[in-house]
Amino acid sequence: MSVNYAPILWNRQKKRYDRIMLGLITLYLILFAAFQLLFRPEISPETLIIRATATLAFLMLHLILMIGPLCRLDRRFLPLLYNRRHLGVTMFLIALVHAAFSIIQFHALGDVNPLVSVFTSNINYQSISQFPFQVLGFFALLILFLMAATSHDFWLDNLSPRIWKSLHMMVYFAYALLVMHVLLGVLQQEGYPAGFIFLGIGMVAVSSLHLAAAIKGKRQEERPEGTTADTFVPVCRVDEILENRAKVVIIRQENIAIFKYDGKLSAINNVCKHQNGPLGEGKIVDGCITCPWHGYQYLPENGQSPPPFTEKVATYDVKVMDGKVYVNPKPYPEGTTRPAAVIGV
Amino acid sequence: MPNNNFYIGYMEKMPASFRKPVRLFVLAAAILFSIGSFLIVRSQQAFSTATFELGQLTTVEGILRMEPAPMLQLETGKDSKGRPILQSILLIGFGKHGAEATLEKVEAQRKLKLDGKKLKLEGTLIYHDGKTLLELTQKEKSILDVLDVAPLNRQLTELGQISLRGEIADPKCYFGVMKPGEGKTHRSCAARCIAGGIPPILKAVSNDGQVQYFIIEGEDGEPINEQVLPIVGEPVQLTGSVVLYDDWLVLRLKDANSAQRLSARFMLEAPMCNSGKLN
Ligand code: HEM
Ligand code: FES
Repeated sequence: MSVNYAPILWNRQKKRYDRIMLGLITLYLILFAAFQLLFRPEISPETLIIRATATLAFLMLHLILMIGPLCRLDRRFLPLLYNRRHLGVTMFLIALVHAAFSIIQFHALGDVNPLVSVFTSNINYQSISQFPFQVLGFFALLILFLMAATSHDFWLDNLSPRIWKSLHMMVYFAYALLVMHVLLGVLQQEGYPAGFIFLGIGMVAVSSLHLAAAIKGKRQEERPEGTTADTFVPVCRVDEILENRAKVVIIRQENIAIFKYDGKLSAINNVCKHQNGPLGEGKIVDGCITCPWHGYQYLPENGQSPPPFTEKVATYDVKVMDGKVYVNPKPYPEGTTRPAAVIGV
Repeated sequence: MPNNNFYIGYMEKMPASFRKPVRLFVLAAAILFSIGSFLIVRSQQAFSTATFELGQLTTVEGILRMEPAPMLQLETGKDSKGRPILQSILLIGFGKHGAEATLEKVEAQRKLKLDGKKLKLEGTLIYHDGKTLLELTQKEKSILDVLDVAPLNRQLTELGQISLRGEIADPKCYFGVMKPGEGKTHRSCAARCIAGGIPPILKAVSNDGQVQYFIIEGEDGEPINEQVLPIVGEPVQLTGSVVLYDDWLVLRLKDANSAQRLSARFMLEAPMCNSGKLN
């Protein structure tokens, strides 16, 4: 998908996603402003903007972090994952409005550069309770910026998926920074119990979903034991695999997806070259294994993306004996053609 | 899961069975946003009723005093003994700056001293809790007129050594420009304003909840803006001598480093006592 980024085109589904997202954002901002004018009309417009955008971006970050584990728990949430990039970039832009207004409000028109002031106006770096909380927000914003700026597949290709993935894992670090930004900032100032309760609920929701997804993933992992190295390992019965679907096994660190289609079986590496999506949870569409995350495709017999694309994954030997499936966990170089195992009658 | 349930993002339609969870998520987000915005707004602390008349210029006339900080004195009436009742309007520069720089520029332009002269100023009013400030919004152009007048006598009263508990803030933000204009979230801004030459004030609260404001300066009336920066926006206890300059209290500190930091809990739990000895 190095050539024309085919899966990232606009379609009805995607436009709907964006419309719903923008609708919810508008709903939040209008409600926030309305409640504010109703209950706390003395607020200054700057503080209103700073608080409305801050809380919106932070709530959105919670939702973004929950989509991943939700999809692992139930695949029917996948449509939410597909366009998560837009959600992330929009959240960054909203956080940027918050940060820009904060920097202008608290640091501009002074005797030093506003950005320098963010770091020097409170120098209690040695204290926990008096720590300069705005600096934490600054670094979180920097991470969100790097993620938003590199979110297009162009960067995925140029940075290599491994670096890209680790960059995007930093969202958890950004989340931790923001929890501290809120704790040592507004919650410390206002001291209200409700704030601590909200933050607690948010953190529990995010972490418990991740935990549940990890436990489910571990439970589903099948690790059949082979007798000796380099030989075929029994996996399951042929009829346990649905047509055009796969069975995933981990044997000696190899994460393998065995697909059944057209009376044949083929095995490829389970990890998608795009963003490490689980190919074994995908389906064969138009003769190609299709990744469930963003739809990258691979041919079952050689693990290659159909031309003009150039992605390749490793392949494995499969055989069928007495209605049982066996796989040899020794990988062939990525893109090597291996004959499919024919399912006899 | 039935075999035909497979979704790829570029498909025009998602399978029917995917609709329910996706709708559920969107609904949950809508409920979260509605209830969340309500709860977040409701749980904020109340804002002060301080006022900054942004965009509205007002003209005031009075006598300029450079001590203890630049202020314009207006006679608002006479007391029973026939002495003038004065109101001192603290002058502040544009942005996060004190008024001195602007006044000095005008002195240089007009080649005269402004202290003690009658000035006609145009600026933006800031007021709260009985105190009034004027921002010289248009910098040098805020000084419309300078007139000679007979000197007004100042009323100075020495009130002796006092220990006060409270928070150091910058008067510009505290009395109107920002909400909240004090506390930890505002600390950086207060530090910027005080570093920029706006006189620091101590907001002290007595045991019975009475609030008093003190302009902070050094032992001999010199500015100590730089020295107080590390303790701005924190609960502190300060000890110094207090002087009443007409209608403004001034706290003269021997040494800003002698300030005692108080725990944040203390601020939340107990109002500050404004007198008495240090223990
Ligand atoms: C340069 C970066 C940033 C600066 C200077 C900054 C500054 C501030 C300031 C001054 C406050 C307190 C405002 C108040 O009195 O209400 C605040 C609160 C907050 N910030 Fe940031 N921030 C930054 C980045 C971020 C980012 C990236 C997020 C991500 C979502 C974020 C989320 C929040 C939240 C949730 C609050 C508390 C909400 C509230 O104000 O009521 N901030 N920030
Ligand atoms: S298509 Fe994105 S991870 Fe497979």
